[in-house]
Amino acid sequence: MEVLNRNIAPNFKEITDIGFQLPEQKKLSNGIPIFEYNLGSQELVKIEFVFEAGTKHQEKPLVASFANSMLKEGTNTKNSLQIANAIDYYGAFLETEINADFGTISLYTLNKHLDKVLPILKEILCDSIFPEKEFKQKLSIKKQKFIINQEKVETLASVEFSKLIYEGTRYAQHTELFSFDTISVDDCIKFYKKHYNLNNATVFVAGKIKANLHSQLENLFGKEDLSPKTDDFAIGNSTYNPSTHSIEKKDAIQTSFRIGKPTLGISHPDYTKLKVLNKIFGGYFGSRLMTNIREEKGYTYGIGSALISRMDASTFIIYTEVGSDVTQLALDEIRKEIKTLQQVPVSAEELKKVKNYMLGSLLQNTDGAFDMLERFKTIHFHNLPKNHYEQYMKEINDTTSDDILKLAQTFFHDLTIVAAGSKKVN
Amino acid sequence: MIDFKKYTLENGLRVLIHKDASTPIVTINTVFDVGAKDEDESRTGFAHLFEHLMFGGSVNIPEFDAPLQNVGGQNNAFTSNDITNYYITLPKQNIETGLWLESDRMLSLAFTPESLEVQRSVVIEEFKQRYLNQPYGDVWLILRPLAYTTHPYKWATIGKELRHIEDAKMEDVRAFFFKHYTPQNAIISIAGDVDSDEVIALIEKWYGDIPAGNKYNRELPKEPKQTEARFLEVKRNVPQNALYKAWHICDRMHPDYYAYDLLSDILSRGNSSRLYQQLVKEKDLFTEIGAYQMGSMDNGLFIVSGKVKKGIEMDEANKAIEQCLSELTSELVDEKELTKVKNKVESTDTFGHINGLNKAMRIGYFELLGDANLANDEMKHYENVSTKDLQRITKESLIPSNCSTLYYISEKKD
Repeated sequence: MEVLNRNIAPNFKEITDIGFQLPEQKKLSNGIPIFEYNLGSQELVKIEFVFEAGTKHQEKPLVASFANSMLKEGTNTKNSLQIANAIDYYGAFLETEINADFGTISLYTLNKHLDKVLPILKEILCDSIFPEKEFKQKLSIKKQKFIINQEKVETLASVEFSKLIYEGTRYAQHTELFSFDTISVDDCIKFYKKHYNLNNATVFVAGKIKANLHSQLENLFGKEDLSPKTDDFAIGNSTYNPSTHSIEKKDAIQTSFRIGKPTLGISHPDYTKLKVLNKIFGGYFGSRLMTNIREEKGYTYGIGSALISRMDASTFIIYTEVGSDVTQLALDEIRKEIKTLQQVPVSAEELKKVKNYMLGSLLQNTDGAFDMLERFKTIHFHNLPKNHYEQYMKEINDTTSDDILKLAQTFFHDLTIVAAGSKKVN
Repeated sequence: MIDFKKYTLENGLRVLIHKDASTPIVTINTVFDVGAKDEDESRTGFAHLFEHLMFGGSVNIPEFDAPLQNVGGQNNAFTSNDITNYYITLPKQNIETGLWLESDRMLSLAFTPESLEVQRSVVIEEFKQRYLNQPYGDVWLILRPLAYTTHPYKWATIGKELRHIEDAKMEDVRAFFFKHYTPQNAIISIAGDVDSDEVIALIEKWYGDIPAGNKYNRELPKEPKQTEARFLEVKRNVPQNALYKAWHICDRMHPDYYAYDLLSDILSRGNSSRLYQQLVKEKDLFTEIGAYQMGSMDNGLFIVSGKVKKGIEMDEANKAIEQCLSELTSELVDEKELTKVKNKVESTDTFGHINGLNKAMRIGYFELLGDANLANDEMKHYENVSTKDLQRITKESLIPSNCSTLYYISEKKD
């Protein structure tokens, strides 16, 4: 028998194609756009309504998130228990979600129950009444959760970081304890009427789509008259200024760091290169930050960096929680890793590994209808070319060690540093 | 339904292969029949610390992560009181790289002192981040030893105390490896667009010569029957009072397991559930509340826990939970209500079949319980639960003399 040589890695094949597909694009007769991924063998479907109803659209804190979460709390014909029962009985899931840019409501159901639960979704979107009692109760529950979260160093650090990084823009809005006393049901209703309007909806469907799904959507949503959309939104001008902040939390045994800056957006020609740089620096388990600060020094359970691409701003962020006793040492090591990237070209071997890892991640993130849908939403909302992912793969492959060095030299400046814990940093 | 082929190597390693042609990704899941319950009481947290060490290089391969990342793969692992589970997902054409890496660390670890030192500090930071530096983070460190007096479920996976991690020695690490990380103590499950004969040939190639090792026979102390209500109150620097209740219930293979699972759904799954409707919405006593069974292999716990609204007495909140449970004993659950939670289980199960990792883990776990086919029988068992079963188990188990109650009191000044 041939002796196995375990020291040598088996041959492998590089990823040349991810098999990403575009969805089928349709419209209801009143113009509501629908994007469909009809893939998969399980008899189920997800229907997602996305609205331009993010926190950036609100006039004061909490309104967008309450308008979103109150959707399930009552309509003209059903109270919150009746809505919950109608969905739960059929084993369906109705999920509301909010981020800085969008408010979303998604229905997950087995195909056999779709006709029972889809009308509930319609009722919620077109006929919610925001009962005062439910609102008050939710307000007091959310306030308690808010108070608990304020005890966490990571909350303190990330809220402060957002304030600083998005200064001057509507993304800088943040909730304070008193915000809970300033919001009313009327604020939510006003927001709902304006932003959860079908004229503002984009619909995404993924799963094993039945032939009659389209007519069901058409009957429920396609016959509504759509009022013209008013667009008076402005994000505001960034007044970002790099700074360093320590937030004191007595007795904390870990310090939470958020470090970063505003950066170029997803449509910028250098964006992919920046993604490669970020990967090398802190974007995966084998990154420089993770290798040094977790795997060599043991200062933390986890450290990473990321690029966050919002519709109207992009951010680079480094995040970690480290032992209080090594707070300054950890920051020094982060700085050291930045300096190294600016001075020493990344080796061909490391660059290749990162590229292969990124292509592998892309393949893993386009696996099936639900994943492809998420990737397509990026193309759709950021208005990227249809061949975006092919281009992205090519740009990853084309990135050179010299590109990374130059980018590191121009990129890692003007960082804002926020540290929350019992130790100060400098 | 998860179709699979089963194959057993001469050294005892069991292999399950599930073909799913719709995905370009292959999952390699490896579950070892070892968890925190197999630890010595004076050296807890070891199974989990060991999981970290499994990434610190093996006998022939200095680094685990880098070669996998180099072929577009990802990996992670978790430890529970019952099992230690490792998984890799990677492009299907590179499956052999995954098997090469996994098999080498089953053969033997590098056991470098540096790896032990660093992972020791990483785990200590994990202990701090998740259990000590979080509001309510230490609750399981308190509740487990209250509910269990004897069975090793009385300590949490992270360990009883930081000191046990600090004191771990290299010889302990070695001994632990050769005792538990043997082929006959492991199950590999693979899901993806693979040919089972080819996979078996590759597994024979990479795992075939790993020594079978000695059989580990588990003999855990049995938890004696609880006969008296237990109660503990702790004060912590948190903003809000919390209430935890734990009742002893059956093990994972007991027929009543499914009834307990559905009972917890009736109590707290979805906004239409009883605890939420009665105690959060109607009576305004809690700001959040949940019920679940722990799903552990040996006799488990049924938990109800919630955050008590400001100004509400703990005893009143506690009584309200007991009242809600006593309604379940005095009156049968409505058939429609039972159908509701069964429908939810059915749809959760269907959605769970989308993901290859999920499927691979599932068949591996059930094989460890005794037979991978059980993964496909579960729905039938849920289907068979009756409203009378729910009433019976509530009467039998969810009673004060079988319960540990923890008042987690806020002593924050505000």
